[in-house]
Amino acid sequence: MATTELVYPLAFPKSVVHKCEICGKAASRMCSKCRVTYYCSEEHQAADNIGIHDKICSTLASLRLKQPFLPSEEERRERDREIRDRKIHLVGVTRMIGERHVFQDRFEAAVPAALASLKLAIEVHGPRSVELIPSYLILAEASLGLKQLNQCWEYLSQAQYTVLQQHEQAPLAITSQLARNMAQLSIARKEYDDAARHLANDIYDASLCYGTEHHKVAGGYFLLGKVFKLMNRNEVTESLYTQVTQMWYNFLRRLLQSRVVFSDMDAILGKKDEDDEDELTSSSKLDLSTEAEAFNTLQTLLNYRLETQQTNPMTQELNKIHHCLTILYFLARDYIQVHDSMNKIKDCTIQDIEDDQQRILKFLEQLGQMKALMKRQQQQN
Amino acid sequence: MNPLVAAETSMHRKKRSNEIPTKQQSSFFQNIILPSKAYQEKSKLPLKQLKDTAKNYEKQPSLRKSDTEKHRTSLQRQLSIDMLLQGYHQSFRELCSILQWQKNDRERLGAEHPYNRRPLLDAEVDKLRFLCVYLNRAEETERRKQYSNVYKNYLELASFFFKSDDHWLSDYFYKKCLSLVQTYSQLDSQLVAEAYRNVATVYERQGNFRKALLNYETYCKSSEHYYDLKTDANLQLTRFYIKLSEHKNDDEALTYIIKAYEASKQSDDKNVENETCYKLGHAYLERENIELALKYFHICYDHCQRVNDYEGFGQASEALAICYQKKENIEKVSEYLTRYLQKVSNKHDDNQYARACSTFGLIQTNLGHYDSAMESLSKAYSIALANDSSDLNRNRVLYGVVNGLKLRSTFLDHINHMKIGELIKWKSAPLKNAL
Repeated sequence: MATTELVYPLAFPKSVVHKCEICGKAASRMCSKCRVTYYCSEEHQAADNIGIHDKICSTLASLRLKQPFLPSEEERRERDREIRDRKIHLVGVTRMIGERHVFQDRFEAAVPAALASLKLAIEVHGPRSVELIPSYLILAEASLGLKQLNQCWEYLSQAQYTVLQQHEQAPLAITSQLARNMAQLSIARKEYDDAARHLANDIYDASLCYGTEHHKVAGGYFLLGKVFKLMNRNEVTESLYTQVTQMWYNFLRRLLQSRVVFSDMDAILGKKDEDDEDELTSSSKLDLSTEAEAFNTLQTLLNYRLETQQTNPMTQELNKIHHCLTILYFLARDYIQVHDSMNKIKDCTIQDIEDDQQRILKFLEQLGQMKALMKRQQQQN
Repeated sequence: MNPLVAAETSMHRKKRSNEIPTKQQSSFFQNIILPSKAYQEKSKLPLKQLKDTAKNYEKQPSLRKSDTEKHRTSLQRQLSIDMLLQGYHQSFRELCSILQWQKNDRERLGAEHPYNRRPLLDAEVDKLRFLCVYLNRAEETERRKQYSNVYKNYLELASFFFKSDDHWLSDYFYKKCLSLVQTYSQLDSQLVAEAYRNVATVYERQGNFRKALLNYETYCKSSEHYYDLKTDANLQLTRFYIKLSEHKNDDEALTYIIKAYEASKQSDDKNVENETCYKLGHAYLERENIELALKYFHICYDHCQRVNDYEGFGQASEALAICYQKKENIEKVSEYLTRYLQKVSNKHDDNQYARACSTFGLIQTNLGHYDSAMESLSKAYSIALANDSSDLNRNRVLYGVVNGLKLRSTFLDHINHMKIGELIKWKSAPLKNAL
């Protein structure tokens, strides 16, 4: 790799032993950009780079550097607080990247990301805190994807033990996510009753936490539908999948309505997504992991509908799914796919879908016009 | 046998039969020796029982994870999880929303409202279970598209909560029945009509008269083909119109009573028709429309005669008498009243008789026939006094009035005999003095 540098373990000071980021063995290579990340072999460095290091290289440099001594107590406290805040922020970022990898089925890349988030979280919160659990869950999902069921079980039991150790009730969002992952493990092990039980717990906690119509609960319903399908109770699956479609549909439509209003200039000037997200409220953000989850879910639902179309044609449901995909492509600025997806909708009787399509088309037109205008101006100058 | 084993088993097998009965023992024995450990060791259970208890304990099935969870969680959580496990997610969401709705309502009403004293729904086990069971059934039947069964399930829920006085829930479910009926129009029209009736009663109880009226009218229309429902609909409508007319005044009230009368004609219940007719007559009388009033009172009168309804007959006769008196048709008045008196006196129904007499007396007073008035009124008064009826005060007053009126002529004569001149002098004297 271009950014690698060889280091010699014997050259370090006496008590300092640098360990590999991934496996924890004695390190012989170092990333030359940030100079604080160590690896034991080329493969590990490559894996980490793909997974997470690319994105957080510079941030890590400033965080892991040995801090100079500051004379006053206040300044030291300030600095410590600042570092802690940055670490917390970084934990969030790494988790999201890890979740995105998981939803896009890149499990090997997810592991380094999750590990990084775990290490940072341990530094910030301590080894037994509830805050570590989401990182464990991402690790569990990744190992499930890599078909290492025992490893997954270990991570999940660690998480569950942490929950049990708490004196007060752990936050419902975390217990719900934990239950969901345990259900996924049970599905992989073909223990469908256990899976159903875990999912019931998950849905209950998520409903209590977010409200019964929130899109986060939709994930639980989706998995429950899958379980019932595997248990051959298809009418339940049918009704559950309809419910999931409805929830995502409502959520995405709301997002669309808030987004289409924002100024066209931002799109022209080509500002990146991060700036936009700071302006909008969190309810109208579509963060990376939700986006990936939505894609995944909608693809599966689409396949299911296409399968059952011969026996039970529900064209309106199909149209709804296509429309959700349209909105997703639009929010991801993938405009070619938008047109493709809109063309797949046939015989649509739902007025709302048609309204939305009109809005999207108008927006795209305006976008085209502005771009043409900018080009002309540039040519003049 | 091995001596050690023998010793052990003998230690366990000692029984109490060797001991002296407690009452005859000294206080030393009772206080020190009986509670001591050594004594208790001596009287342990026999070996067989010990072995059995161990075996029985092992035979007990250990609790599975789901059972331990059941002991730890709240009822709401347990029921929700059961519902979700069976796949009834709509019922779960309904349950959540109902409980949340109740909590929000409570918060909104504040801490002192009397509703707060009743327990929250999630604390009442039976109701919660009932609710869950029927919600599940409704969802199941909805999935199978048996919409009449869905309707029946919701109806069950509504009537259950109506009986247990949880009107907020029963109203909600009645309205749900109605919306179901309105969306899926191929249901049995009898169910449709009933749905409208239930919702109309809901609105009436809540005091929302406009909507209640709408629903009662729709009920009427939709129950055209079913005889029972049609009569019931018309009766309800009649009752409701009369209620409306009581709340409003002037012309609107009149239109309502007219509508009530028409509705009562549609239903085949003659008594109700009669009553409405009577009310209508009175309404016209209040508005001084004597012709129409007379017409309706005559209808009442004839009907009561046919049916031999004495009280109704009495009321109708009275009313007719008042009308004719207003019209100053004296013969008719006395005719009706005498007929009334005759009919009633045969029957010896005292209250009716008293009423009849007092009415007769009143009319006679108005006409100036004080003697006959006095006769009847004295009869009325004595009867009322004897029976201690509610009309007593009225009769008293009337009797007093007629006595006074009778004496009025003598009083006037008396005054005429007095020295008017002196009276006038006396009256004007202070004026002079003041001046």
